Amino acid sequence: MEQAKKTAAYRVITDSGGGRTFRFYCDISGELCCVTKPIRADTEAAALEMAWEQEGKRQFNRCDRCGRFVSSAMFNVNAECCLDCAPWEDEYPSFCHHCGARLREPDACFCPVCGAKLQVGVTDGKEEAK
Amino acid sequence: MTDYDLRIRQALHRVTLLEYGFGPETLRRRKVCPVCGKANSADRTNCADCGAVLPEMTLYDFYRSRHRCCPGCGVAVTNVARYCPECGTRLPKGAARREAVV
Repeated sequence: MEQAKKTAAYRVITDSGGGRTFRFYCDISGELCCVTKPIRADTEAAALEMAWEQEGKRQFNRCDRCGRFVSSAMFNVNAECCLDCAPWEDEYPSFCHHCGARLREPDACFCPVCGAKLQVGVTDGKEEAK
Repeated sequence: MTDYDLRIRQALHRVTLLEYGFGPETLRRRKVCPVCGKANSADRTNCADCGAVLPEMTLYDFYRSRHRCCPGCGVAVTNVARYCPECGTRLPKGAARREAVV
């Protein structure tokens, strides 16, 4: 896993009264996912922590693999990872990704020819064929 | 699982994806403003919030640009795939994925 991030990417806007408004963005697409209400705190770090815990965190999905915070659009709920780590795959593939054999059982977990795992979210990063 | 069960399950899965705002269909319907970050409908040419000109590229195009894709049917495939799980096309050896832009 990459260095753990505490919050999503953000910009801070300080108003004339000293309040800080945070705008949190998806770490992959840059989509604006949350604009907080103005927060007053002694330091920017303290305000950021409050903004993230109270409002920002709920609008994001944290990737289990790389630790980035992403919008729902850029999150693969089947694999609990961001789309960079786990691109969308058909839940019921027609062909084995490893040997190319046509699959006759649509919900099979393993390829009957080479034994590769076929389910979503487990085919990324290493070969499973036996 | 019968073909009918499979189709029902796929349809329910699709409805859930659409309802909760994720999945390839959601990506196809969105563009992100490069200036303010607002998610706009794919048919817009200017951002609804700041008025900036939106790129042609939808979130789906952006997503595909970051992955290996099957030259036959275009779906994104994992780095380890040798054959497309959708259409069975033999895949060329993939390039490394790109880094995040943010």
